[in-house]
Amino acid sequence: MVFQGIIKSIASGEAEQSLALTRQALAQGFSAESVLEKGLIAGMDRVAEKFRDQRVMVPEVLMASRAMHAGLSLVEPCLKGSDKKTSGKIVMGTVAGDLHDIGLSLVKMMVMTTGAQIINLGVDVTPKKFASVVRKEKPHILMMSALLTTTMTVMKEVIDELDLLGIRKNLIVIVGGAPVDSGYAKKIGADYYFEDAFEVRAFIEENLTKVIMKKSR
Amino acid sequence: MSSIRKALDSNLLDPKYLEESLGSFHNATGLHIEAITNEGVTFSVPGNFERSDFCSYIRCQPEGEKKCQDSYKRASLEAAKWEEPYFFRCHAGLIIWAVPIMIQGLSLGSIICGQVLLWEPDHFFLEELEKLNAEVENIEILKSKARMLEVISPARSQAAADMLFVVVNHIIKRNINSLQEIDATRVQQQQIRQEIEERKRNHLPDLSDYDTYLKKERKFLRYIRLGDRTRANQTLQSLLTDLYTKTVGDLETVKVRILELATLTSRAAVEGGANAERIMTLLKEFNKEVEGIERVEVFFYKLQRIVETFLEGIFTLANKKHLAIVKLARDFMMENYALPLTVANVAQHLFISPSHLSRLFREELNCTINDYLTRVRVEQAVEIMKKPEFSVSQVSIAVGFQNQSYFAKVFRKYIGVTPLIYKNSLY
Repeated sequence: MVFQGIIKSIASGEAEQSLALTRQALAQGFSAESVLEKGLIAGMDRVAEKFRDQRVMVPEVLMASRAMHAGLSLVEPCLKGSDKKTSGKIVMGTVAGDLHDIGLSLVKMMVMTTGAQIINLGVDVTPKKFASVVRKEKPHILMMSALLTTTMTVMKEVIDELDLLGIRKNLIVIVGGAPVDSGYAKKIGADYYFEDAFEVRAFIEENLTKVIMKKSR
Repeated sequence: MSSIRKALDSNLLDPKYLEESLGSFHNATGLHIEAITNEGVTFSVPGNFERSDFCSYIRCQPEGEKKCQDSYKRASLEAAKWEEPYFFRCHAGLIIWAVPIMIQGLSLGSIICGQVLLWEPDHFFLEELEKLNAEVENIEILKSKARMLEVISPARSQAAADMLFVVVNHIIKRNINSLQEIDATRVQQQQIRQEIEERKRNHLPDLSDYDTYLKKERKFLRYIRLGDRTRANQTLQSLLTDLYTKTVGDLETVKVRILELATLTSRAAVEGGANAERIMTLLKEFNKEVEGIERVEVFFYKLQRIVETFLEGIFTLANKKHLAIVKLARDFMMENYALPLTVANVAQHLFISPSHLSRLFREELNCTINDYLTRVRVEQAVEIMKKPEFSVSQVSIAVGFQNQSYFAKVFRKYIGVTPLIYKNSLY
């Protein structure tokens, strides 16, 4: 099974292997989404699973992440298939102190397919930076993620900063990341939490038009 | 540089010794190392070994030196933040790790090690190289130099980073205790995270109101009183996770809750049989100890430690080899308290003589089997009484008392009031 092969190649950090198998899966007619979800992301999940109960070996994670990016480089062009354009604008980034960009780039890639304009601030974005970009760009949605328990609290600082500057209204704030859940999202004053990139995209596909209408009113 | 100078002056860091040890490390492992400041500027290459052709080529590109320094600067910051080796891919695509040089909480820079690959320079890597180094004058030259880079296994690079960390900490005479504390902080973060992930996986509802928290707290105190270490620790971890997410890591609130928990636990430990004088002294020391703490994880860690100490006060733990039997007896009683149990029943269940069992109980828990059984029953009675639909006599039977007036007497002895008054006070 080609997905099993992709998962294995990522877990063992074999970039060439991941590249070849991803190409094969796409050639066999599997959709880019399914290769992404059942192959590449499942591969990273396998790595996370391995280190759940033992010390994380960062070099191994670096290798796995590279192998995943190899596959991703083939999947990404196929995802960009849709050429619908909307006037929706989304700002995203990981919060200050957090350099984990795998989830962020997956979310960006999926959300891109909705036709929204994306301003990706990348990793390690301070609350001030988030706020100033929101003020300048007036996006419809702000997405931020944190992968660490030590940085998840910064998301609240971002929202507080937005509140302080009076620009929290008319903005949908979406949060994500391993230590975050919907209860936490509610507590810090965010609007939504989504489990993965697919959920986010589904939400945006369904609601972006409504959000744009509401804001321009 | 001035902070390094200061450290050198105060004899905390002997530069010659540092260079020698790092030189030995290089010779033993064959890995390139250099010492950098927090600005990413190299101030020492032990033994003056040359950088690889790849790195030399990258550095002689326009702005090349600056880009390398920026890469190292960022890594040094991260290494200092986590106080452990930080692995990264540099801007040019190599695997490098930075080991922090920390003296008394102050970062003086890092030791940079690696500049290697974890994989063969395969086709995909050469593609990556092109993307990462678009401004390099001649990419083909860079590619040929990349083919000469050393490829090492992830296990070897992790081991090299660990070793280097030990060496650096040894040279700067790092206090072992502070390392333990950093470790404990990290374990604490991991525990919180595992707990959150576990809850997410099991789709547990988000119960973060104080009602739920206090209920859990009562449960925790009950386990303390019964000396049930495993359940007490589990419940405590869950409480701390609740506290962390509920307060969004707010230090002031966390501090108040932690002090409360310590106080409540101390009382519960005394009720569970620990020596009151000793527990109160410990509590006082604890309050002093946590005064200046500025990290939530350290609070949690200290609390878990004091709870552990309190629990030890309940078990004398004099003779650990018998603990297993005592635990089995305890578990048996906790499961069967509703039955008319006798010492003989419990002993029979464990295939040992009643007198032997009684002696072990006295040694390990400093109480008789009947005392312990009574405590389990009273704790359980308190729990059941929270349900308004049960009458006092029903509760009495449910927890294994044959005689209601005896139940009332025992209950009063432990709780201070009769069951009826207690029950009425709840509604």
